[in-house]
Amino acid sequence: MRLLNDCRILLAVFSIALLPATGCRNTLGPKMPPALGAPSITVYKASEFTEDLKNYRAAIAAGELVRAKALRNQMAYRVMVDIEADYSRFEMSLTTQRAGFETGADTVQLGISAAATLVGATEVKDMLTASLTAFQGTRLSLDKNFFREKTTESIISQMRASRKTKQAELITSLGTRDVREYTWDSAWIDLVDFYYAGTVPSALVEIASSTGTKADRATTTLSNAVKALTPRTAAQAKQAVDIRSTYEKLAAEATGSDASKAASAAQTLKKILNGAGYKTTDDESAADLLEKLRAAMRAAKDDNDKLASLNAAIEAADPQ
Amino acid sequence: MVGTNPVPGNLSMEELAATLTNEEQLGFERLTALAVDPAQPRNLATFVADPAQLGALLICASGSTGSGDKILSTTAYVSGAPIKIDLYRLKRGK
Repeated sequence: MRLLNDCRILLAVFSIALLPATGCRNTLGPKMPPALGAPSITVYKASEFTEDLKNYRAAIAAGELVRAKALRNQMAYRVMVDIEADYSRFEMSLTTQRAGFETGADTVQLGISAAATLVGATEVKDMLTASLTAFQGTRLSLDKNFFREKTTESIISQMRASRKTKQAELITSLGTRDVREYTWDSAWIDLVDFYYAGTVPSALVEIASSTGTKADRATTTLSNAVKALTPRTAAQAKQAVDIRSTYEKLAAEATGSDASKAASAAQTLKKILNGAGYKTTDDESAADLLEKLRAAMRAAKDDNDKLASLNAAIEAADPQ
Repeated sequence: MVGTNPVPGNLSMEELAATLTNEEQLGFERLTALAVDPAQPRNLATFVADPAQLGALLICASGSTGSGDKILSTTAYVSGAPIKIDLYRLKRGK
């Protein structure tokens, strides 16, 4: 008996909760005039397209470039009109369907939650709570997988921006370029791009790419800030000149033809590097040691301690 | 570092020359330009890679006589104020 009562409560709660989920379509836009919505006006039939394309090819073959351009533009604009009309309907349905789904989902969630609170039987309560958790998970999964958790507004905004960019390129090309430079096939490629610019996957990619660009810019700014030169005193500049002079001298000796000088230079390089805290091994060539010293010099460029340490190691290993 | 780097605008002429010299000597670079940063009171120094060791840099107020070869005449922030300066490169070993 108690279970029956619980079921009655459940039915009542669901019925009340589902009421607001019905019929919101007319609140999102005015009624479309019949002429604007009539498919016969906008739809570019395949047979008409085939005929136009045939005429276009014939005009090209006959060298009638002005006529060919007119035909190319006519075909492109008719396809564009179709894409435009379909996109407008798609945008509206994207908003209404997603909002409808979200509202319905909210309603179901609230309903189950309320029912779980009201019912007395523990088994039913547990069942409802488990259902609510599963429903919430499914809802989040749908949002993540289809819309990457982006709002409808941001997706539509990106689609509009991308479409306008593509459309502007297309219209400019049609208006300014002749059929030799901008053939129907080129226009067709741009029309395909124009169509895809108005799709959710394309918008999501654009949003992600834009975020990546912003992140790159931020990284560059940060990097520039880090790269400010470290102020030096005249004494430190003299140390830098001395270090560099020693490097030049040792590089000349280590790579020169005099074997004894080369061996001595390699030993001095090792002493300097070890003295400055860098490890060396017996099998390292003079070129390896010189590269290590260059790296040590670059590290000392912005670090007072490393500069002092390298200078001291040079003075100890190679007294002038 | 090769490229354009900010340099603090509050350095004295001697410190500015020392900072640029340090960069050239230890970074294996050559200074090619020094200018005021239009966005804030500091300088922007541009360097290119140069494997040859160069002489140290010297900075003097524009018009005064410096030693070495004059390599640049420009406006730069020195001790917090933009002034016209000349950059000289000293002979190696000086």
